Amino acid sequence: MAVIGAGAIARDHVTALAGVPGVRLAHVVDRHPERAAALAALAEGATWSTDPATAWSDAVDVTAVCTSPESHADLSVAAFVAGKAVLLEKPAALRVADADRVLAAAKKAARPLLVAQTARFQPVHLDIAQAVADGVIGTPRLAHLTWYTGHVWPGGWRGWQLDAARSGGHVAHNGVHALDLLTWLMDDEPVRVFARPCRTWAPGMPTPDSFQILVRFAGGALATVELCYALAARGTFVRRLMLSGTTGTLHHSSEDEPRAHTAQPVAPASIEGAMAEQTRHLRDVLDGVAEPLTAPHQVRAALAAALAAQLSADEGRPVDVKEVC
Amino acid sequence: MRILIVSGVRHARDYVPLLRTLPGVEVIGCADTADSPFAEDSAALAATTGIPLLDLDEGLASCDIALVCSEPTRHADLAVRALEAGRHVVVDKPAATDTRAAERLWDAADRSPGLLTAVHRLYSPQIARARRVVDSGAIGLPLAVDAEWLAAGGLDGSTVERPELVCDPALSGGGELMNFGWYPALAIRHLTGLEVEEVVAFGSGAPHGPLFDGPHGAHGVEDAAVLSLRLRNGVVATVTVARTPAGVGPAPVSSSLRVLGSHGHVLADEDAPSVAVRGADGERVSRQVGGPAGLTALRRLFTEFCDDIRYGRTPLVTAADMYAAVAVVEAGLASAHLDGTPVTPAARTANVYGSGVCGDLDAVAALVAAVGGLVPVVGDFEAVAAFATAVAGLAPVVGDLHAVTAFAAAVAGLEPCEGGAWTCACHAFPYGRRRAVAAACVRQWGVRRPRRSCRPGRCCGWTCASGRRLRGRHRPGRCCSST
Repeated sequence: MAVIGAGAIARDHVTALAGVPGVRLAHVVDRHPERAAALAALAEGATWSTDPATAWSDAVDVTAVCTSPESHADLSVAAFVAGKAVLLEKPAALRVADADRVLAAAKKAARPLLVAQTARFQPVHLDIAQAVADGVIGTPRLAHLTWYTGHVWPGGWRGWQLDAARSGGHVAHNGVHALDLLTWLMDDEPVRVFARPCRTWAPGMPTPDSFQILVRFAGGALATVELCYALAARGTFVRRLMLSGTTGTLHHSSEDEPRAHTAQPVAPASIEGAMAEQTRHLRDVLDGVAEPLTAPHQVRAALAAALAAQLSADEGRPVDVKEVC
Repeated sequence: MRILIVSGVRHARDYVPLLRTLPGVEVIGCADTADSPFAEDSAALAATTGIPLLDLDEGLASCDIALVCSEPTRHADLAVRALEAGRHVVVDKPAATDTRAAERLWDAADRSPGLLTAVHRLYSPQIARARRVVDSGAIGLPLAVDAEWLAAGGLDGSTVERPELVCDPALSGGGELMNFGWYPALAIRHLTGLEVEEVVAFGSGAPHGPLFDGPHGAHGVEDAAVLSLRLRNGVVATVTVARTPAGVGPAPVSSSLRVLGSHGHVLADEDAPSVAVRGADGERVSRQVGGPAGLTALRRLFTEFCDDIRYGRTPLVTAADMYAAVAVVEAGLASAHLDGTPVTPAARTANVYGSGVCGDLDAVAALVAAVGGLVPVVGDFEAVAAFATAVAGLAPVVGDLHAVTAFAAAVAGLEPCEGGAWTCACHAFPYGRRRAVAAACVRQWGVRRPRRSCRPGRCCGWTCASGRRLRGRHRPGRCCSST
C-alpha cells in the first residue's frame, strides 16, 4: 500500500496495517518531507516521497488517499488510471460530480474502490447489519443515531477540518459517516434532509462541532441523527442506535457496556478495532475474495446526502438530495 | 380530595385504580356532557370500576378536582367548563390539540379560582434527576437535548382503548406526534427553561405513507415523526416520536433523553435503572428500580397537585407550559405537512388583534416595514409576497393574494375565521382572506417582538426583501446582517 497524505488518519491506517498479514506499507507521499519520512519510518522498508505520482507507481497495489477532502477525487482518479485499487478516505469528494468521476474511473479501470466508512466496521454495526440481514426486525423504517464524543481536532485554528473549503464542512465530512451507516443499514437512499448546526466550542467557528440531521429515505423511512464532538472529556464516547423495523426494534447503547473508566479514556468495546477490521476487509478485497463493502451506489448516496445536509445547515432549510446531484 | 372523571374515554381505566391507591383521594364518579359522542365509554368506566355515573354539572358541583379524560379534541373545552365551574383541573395529555384551544384554556385558568395542570411525565424519576443535574450546574449550560419517545404497539386495545382515539384527527387532533410530542416538548422546556423559536419536522402523515403497518395510513396521520428544534440562545434539540411494532425497553412507552451541556452531559432513560432477573426457564424479566417510571410519574403528579391545592403552590406544569408544548407540536405538524419547512411556533401576545393593524394589507406592509426595517415593502400584495418568499424561503410564493394567504396558512399554520380569530390549518385552508394574511404577518414577524428593531450593523434576524445586495451572501430565508 502507498499512502498519500501523512496526517492523523494515515497514521491510523499504517498502525492497522501492522496487524494485518498480507498487506504492508510500501510508500508514503506527503508534501511535507518530514511528515512523509516520519510515517514511512513506522514500517520496515517503506519509502517516502513528495511526488504524488509515486503513490501509484509499479511497486504499489493499492493507493490509500488520506489527504484532506478537496484533493480526494483527483488523486483517486489518477490512481485508478494507473491501474491501482484505491482506499479512499471519507468524504469521497466534495461534489457529487467528483464522486461520479471517481466511480467511473474505478469502473473503467476495473479496480476496487473502498471508501473508508470505518463506522461500518465497528463491531456493533457489523452485528446490527447482520441482524438486519437475518430479518430480525423485518424492514428497518425508523432510525435514531446518537454519537457523542469528546474530541477537538488537532492543529488549533489551523485544522483543515475547520476550513469548509477543504473539508466540505463538518456536516459533510463527518455527517457522511452516519449517513453512510444508515444508507447501508436501511438499504435505502436519503432523498431529503434537514441539518441544524450547534457550535459548542466557540461561537465564531467557521464550521460547527456538533449538528443534527433529519433524514427521509426514498422508501419513506425516517431517521434522526445527532452528532456531537463536545463531550467534556476528550476521548470519551456515548454511542446509541435505535433501529425500528416492521417486526422488531434493535437498540444499542454504549452506556449498557462494561466500560473502562480511566485517566486516559478507553473507547467502548462496541466500536473498538474498526480500523483493523476495515484493513482485513481491504486485504480480502485485494485478494479477490470479497466485494468492497461500500458499494458504488452507496458511496454516491451517502456523499450526496452529506453534501445536502451541509447545504441545509448552511442555509437553514430542508434540502432535497437531488439538489446537490 | 374528591376527584371527578370528566368523560371516561382515554386513560381513565388506568387512572381510576391508581387514584384509589392514593391516601386522601376519592374518585366520586364519572360524568360527561349530554351530547358526548362517547357517553357509553363513561358508562362502561363506571360499570367496570364501580364508580357512580353522574350528571356533569352535579359532578362538577361536588368535586374538588376535575380530571378530564375525553378524546383529545374535547380536552380543552371540557377543562374550560370545569374551570368556569370553579374546580381545580387536571387535563389528560395533550391538553389541547391546537394553540387556539390552549389559549382558551389559559384564559380560563387565569379567570378561574381553580388550579390547572395536565398529565405529563416530568415527575418521572429520571427526568426529575436530569433537571436536578442541570440545576446544579454540573453540566454547565445545556446546549443540546435529544429526546426519543416510542410507543410499542398498543393499538390492539392494550394501551390505547381504540385505534381511532390516536389516529382519527377528529378525535385525536393528529397522529403520534400529536399523541406523544407533548411529552418531549414539555421535557425539553422543563430541562432548558427556553422557548422554542423554530421547528422543522419530517413525518409519515399524508402525503407520505406510515412507516409501520398500523391504522394511521387510513386516516392520513403520522405514525412517526422526527423533529429538529431551535430554542433561544442557540440551544438545539431533536425529538423522535413513533408508534413502533416493538419498543426499546419493556414498558409500553420507552423514552430516553440526553442533555449535552457546556461542561458535561446527563442521560436519562425512563426504563433504567433496572434489575435483570432470569428464571430457570431462561425467561428474562427487567424489574425497574422504584417501579415503572410512568406509574411513578403519575402518582407523583396527582399527589403533588393535591398539595399544590392545599398549600397554594403553582403546579409544575402551568397553562403557559401547556400552550408552549401544544405550540411546538402544532408547529411540528405544520412543518411535517410542508415536508420540513421551518415553522415558528405560535406564541401568545397580549391584545395584538385589537391594535388595528390586522385589518388591511397596507397596515401589514407598514408593520413589516416598521418591524423588519424593510423599507421597500409597500402596500401591495406583490411586495408582501416577496417578503414572504424572502423570509421563509418558500419558492412558489408569488405575487397574488392566493399565494400569500397560502403562505400565511402554511408557515403560521393558520386559517382565517370570522371575527379576527384564526385556527390551525394543518390539513386545509381557504385562500383569499386578507385578515389571515395580516394576522399571520403580525404573528410571524413582529408585534410580539417589538424590541427586535433593526439597527445598522446589527443582525436583525430577518432577511432583506429589497433585492439589494448588502453585506455577505444574500439568500432567501437567511439573515443578511443588515438593516
